[in-house]
Amino acid sequence: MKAFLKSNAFRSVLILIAIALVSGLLLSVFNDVLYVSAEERLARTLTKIYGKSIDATEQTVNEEHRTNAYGEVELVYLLEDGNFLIKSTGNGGFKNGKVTLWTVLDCSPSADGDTQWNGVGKVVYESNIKQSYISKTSGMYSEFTLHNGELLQGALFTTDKGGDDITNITAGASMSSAAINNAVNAAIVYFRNVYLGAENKYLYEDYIDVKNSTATVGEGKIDYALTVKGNSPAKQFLIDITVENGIITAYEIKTNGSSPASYADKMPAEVKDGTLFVGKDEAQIKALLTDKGALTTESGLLSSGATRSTESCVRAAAFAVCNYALVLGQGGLA
Amino acid sequence: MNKYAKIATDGLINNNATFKLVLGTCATLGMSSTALDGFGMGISVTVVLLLSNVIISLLRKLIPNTVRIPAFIVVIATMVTLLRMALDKFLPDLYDAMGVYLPLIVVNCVILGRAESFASKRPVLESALDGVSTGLGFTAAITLMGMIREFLGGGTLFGLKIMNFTIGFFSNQAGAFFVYGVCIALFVYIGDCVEKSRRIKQARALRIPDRSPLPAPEEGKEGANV
Repeated sequence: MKAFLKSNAFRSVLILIAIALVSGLLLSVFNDVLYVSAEERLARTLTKIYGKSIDATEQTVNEEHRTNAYGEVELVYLLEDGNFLIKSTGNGGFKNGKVTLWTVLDCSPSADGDTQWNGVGKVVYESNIKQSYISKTSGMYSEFTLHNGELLQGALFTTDKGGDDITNITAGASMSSAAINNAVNAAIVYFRNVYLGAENKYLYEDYIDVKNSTATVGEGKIDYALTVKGNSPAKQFLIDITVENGIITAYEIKTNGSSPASYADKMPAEVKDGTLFVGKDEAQIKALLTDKGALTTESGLLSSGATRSTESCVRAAAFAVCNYALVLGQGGLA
Repeated sequence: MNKYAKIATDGLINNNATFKLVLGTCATLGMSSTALDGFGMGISVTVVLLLSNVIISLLRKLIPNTVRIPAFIVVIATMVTLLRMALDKFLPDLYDAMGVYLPLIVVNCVILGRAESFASKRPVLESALDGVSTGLGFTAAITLMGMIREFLGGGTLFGLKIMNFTIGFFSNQAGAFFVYGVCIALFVYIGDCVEKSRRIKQARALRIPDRSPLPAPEEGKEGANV
């Protein structure tokens, strides 16, 4: 024992431990001295956005609307000038990564005292997860402020071309672009739902271009012709679905939006020919998706290599069967 | 040459970490897209080099040989973490610009290399000077590369617009390798030219100075008619 305590090995270990302890002590002391608080970080963000410091009051995030189809809202501030500043994270990036942004929503008090939304004032980048090409997307942020008229009509941002939504994409970084668009959309959708009282009418509405979809109502039967929004890199799908008495009886993909087109061959056969959905009711279809509209692990559909395309098809089925009673009652898609 | 002057010139020129020793390539290529980014990275590495060299030199007689590398890495990692905290507090723009390359300074070969080959064997003052001179040599090299790439790739210099004509190749990674290679070639060529002229001067100084014919010997004296 004495020999071990006097040995070189013991001395080496002791010295390493001593160096580590002193380093740890030094780091903990300086961590306190150089600590950057959340308020300081917010002040920096505001200075980056406004060029000067401005008062901001943190608002409680509405838990019911915190997450939506596009991402998650982390923080909401009401600024001194009446605008709202929202920190949100967008899904659907490269390698399933995310992008976090700060979005300023221009607001002014309306004549009846409610908040009047005027559009997006500014978008500032905060951070990302796994987005190797994020530096290519720097030109996107100014584009968000140029389409306020369309935003006020209910449009959102997308990487797809055509359709009613606003296209904003950087070539060579389409998936990072999707995550950036989703971060802004998450903030806009949250604001619309919580502050403008514009909740979605239909379940899974965020994934369907309702304006360009139709539903023909018969005796207990609905024939849908759905336009499924792009799910980058997958583009729009056009899918015909028939629902009778709350059960899907027919499912046909009219236009496969897989991108590149070869990815259509990677989709599971039972999704492509619709046999996965035929005969299923609302509960069975809902079980294929998480609360955030992504495929569940239990669905067994995640390993196909064409996840986004498959996800679009399942979302279409979910929209069709989950809104059956509502669409039947109102005689179509209103 | 004075000992300290030699240490300084070795760090700056003769053993330049970027163009001569080709160390710290990851940071060099990643942070040389603009002159300001390069300068920021260079100064950060200089600060870490100075602090780590001083501390390792102070502890050189205490750290056993068998655990010297892990000990050096703990010291270097601590210095880099302190630098990160300081940059986040006082220079957030530089902190954001450096991104992942800031913590990567820990595994920068320049720092571990100087710790192993110099600071662990020499006194504190010499180690500090070596740290500063090596760091400044690295800074000069990476800033020069940044200036070239920013000017040719973006038409700007230190953020100021100089010209509208740009060559996108120099903004990407392939361009970084190209500029790096050209700079190394130029550095070696200039170094060779300077060394050659120094040797020529030295040789001239050692040559026999007078080759005029010997005077004729006087008549009757030894050496006549030879």
